[in-house]
Amino acid sequence: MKSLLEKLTAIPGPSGYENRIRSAIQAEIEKYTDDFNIDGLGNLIAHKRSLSSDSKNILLITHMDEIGFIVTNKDKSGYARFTNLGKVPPASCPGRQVEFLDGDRGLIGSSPDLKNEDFVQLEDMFIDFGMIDKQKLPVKIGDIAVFAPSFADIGDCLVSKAMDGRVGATILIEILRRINKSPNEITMIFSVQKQVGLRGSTAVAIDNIPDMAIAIDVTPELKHPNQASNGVKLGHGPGILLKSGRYIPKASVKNALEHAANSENIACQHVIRENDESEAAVIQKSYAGINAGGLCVPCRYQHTAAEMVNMDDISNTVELLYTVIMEPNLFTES
Amino acid sequence: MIIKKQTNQTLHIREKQINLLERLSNACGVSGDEAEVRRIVLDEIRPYADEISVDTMGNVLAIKRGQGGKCMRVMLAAHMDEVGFMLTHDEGKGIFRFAQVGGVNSHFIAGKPILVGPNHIPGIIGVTPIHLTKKKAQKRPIPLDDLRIDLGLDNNHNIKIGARGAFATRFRKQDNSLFGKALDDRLGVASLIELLKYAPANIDLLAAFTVQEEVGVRGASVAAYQCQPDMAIVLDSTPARDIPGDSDRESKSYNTHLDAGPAIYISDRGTISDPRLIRHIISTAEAEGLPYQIRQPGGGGTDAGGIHKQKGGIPSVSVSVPGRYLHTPISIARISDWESTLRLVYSSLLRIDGDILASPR
Repeated sequence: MKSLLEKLTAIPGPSGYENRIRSAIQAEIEKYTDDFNIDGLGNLIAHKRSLSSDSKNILLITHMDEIGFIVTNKDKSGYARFTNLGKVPPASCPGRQVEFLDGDRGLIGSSPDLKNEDFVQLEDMFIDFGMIDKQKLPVKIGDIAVFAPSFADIGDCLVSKAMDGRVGATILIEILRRINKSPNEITMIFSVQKQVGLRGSTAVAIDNIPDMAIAIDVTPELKHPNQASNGVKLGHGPGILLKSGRYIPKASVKNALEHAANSENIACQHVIRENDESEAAVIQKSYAGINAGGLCVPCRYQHTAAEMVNMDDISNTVELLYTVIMEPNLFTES
Repeated sequence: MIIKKQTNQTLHIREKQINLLERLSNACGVSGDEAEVRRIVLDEIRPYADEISVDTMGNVLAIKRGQGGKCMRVMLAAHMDEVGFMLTHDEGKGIFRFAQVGGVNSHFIAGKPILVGPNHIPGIIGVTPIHLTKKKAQKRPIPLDDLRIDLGLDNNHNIKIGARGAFATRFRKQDNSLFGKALDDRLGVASLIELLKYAPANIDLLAAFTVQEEVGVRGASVAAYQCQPDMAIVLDSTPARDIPGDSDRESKSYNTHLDAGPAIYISDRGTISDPRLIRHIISTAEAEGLPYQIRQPGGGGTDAGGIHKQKGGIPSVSVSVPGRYLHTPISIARISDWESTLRLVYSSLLRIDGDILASPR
């Protein structure tokens, strides 16, 4: 799983430009799914059928896109000016390398003598291509970049760009590999354009309305110095979502996840995300309403070039999710 | 039914098209009250469309089918509504409190003439004259709470709160420039009427003249659900920043220029355009020798924001005529930019075939 995660995080897939990451995921899942399709916006939707006559429909969704950058102008000094695709904390950007979709590398620079660094905005920064001849700037307005790959082992954790997105994708791929015969019908959605406002999951149209939906994503651990903790802890297991933004998960989904965690003795934690919306929020409001919940892997430094996660958290999330979807009587024990 | 001969003709902006834009610009259609614009649209398109309907929100949906078998269903959208005002409280003697509808900066509306309601009752957003204003107060922007719409009417009028007010500017042409209110998006509406008249035979053209774009892209979402297109192109107008006093600043945020041709969208606040459609339009421009500019990515939004998220996702892109001073009482656009925009969209439609969505995203 770790090597798959490393492979997936290295592939660029900024919002709206997920073709390469989608192809990579498609190649991983092809032989484990019964069928799959790609919709108008680019969501990859895969099905694993059940032979059981009283099966339930379960929808698992994760996004595959990552935050990125888009060139807004080429300035007179030979730099590219840029803005964000998705939420990017500006303070985390200077000094980071970026990789354009065609492979060009650049470095995000800012004036080092800026006095109040708290207020540095992306529009004060620029991308430097290291060109001695400024006429040779290799990009044009609208070109798109992501943080350059940076996978590393640090202590008990893994660090990379695009953990947000690819952790979820890795988990779903691993689940698909494990399922031999499923008592339930499984639909998996690898969605696009989550980082710019849940657009892929909003567009999704599915044939069979799920009895239960679970959105898999990372969730921030906030406990850095000078910051109030949000209670999420790396290494303490998968997070069962209690609330995100204006969304409250269906209790039956939360109960099913808790029940599975108890029965398999998997440590887990509860997560409340105040300023951030889960894809479960839009799934819940689809059609005539869907039982939707969220399962999250804790992550430090979310939306930066160095998102930190713990491999045990990922493995335990797979265990928990697998237990739930293999349960023939999803709601009876809650 | 008028059948136009299908040729690879070029579309023109001539007196007839400018007269149509004049009628559209002078009509009042503040969001939610687009009836006057809708009437003009319906009158214009009636002879040319195979099917016309008005949905429950007020969107005009017109279909012009292609010829010869199954065609790509291409939705073209332009919004009929404009920014303006709504009367919110009757204070008597023809004086009303009001609210903005859509993005209008309250700091520059004082003293501007407006037209209220379907009968275009003239009014003014009254402002204290300089004689009666203290020096200090002259330096402050006037808050909306201190402004009133004065209709100069006796008490027995029949203007009710809820009525809309639009800027009173009358349209005119000056050299290569067009002056008028609501060029955002009557330019798109006029273009879409023209494209219906000369609808290419290789596609099913699904024209949507939408409502309530300026208050959050509300009409376009339901229009797209109804149309179920394979792809969508949105025709809008976008702010140009080559404005006197502002033009020397290096622009790092979203921006276009007059005289540089149609503005093609890559990303704005509401939509990331489909890369296949961006490539299609750019390659059309290059093949046809038409000018174009890439709208610098950033804020703003078009009907595409509502369209692209419907029904499993609809590949969408927007193309705008650049205009200065949008969302103010008067904006300026160039006839040449409008004409090249119309030609680019028309040529792009003619070049659509079944393979357009099969190319890599």
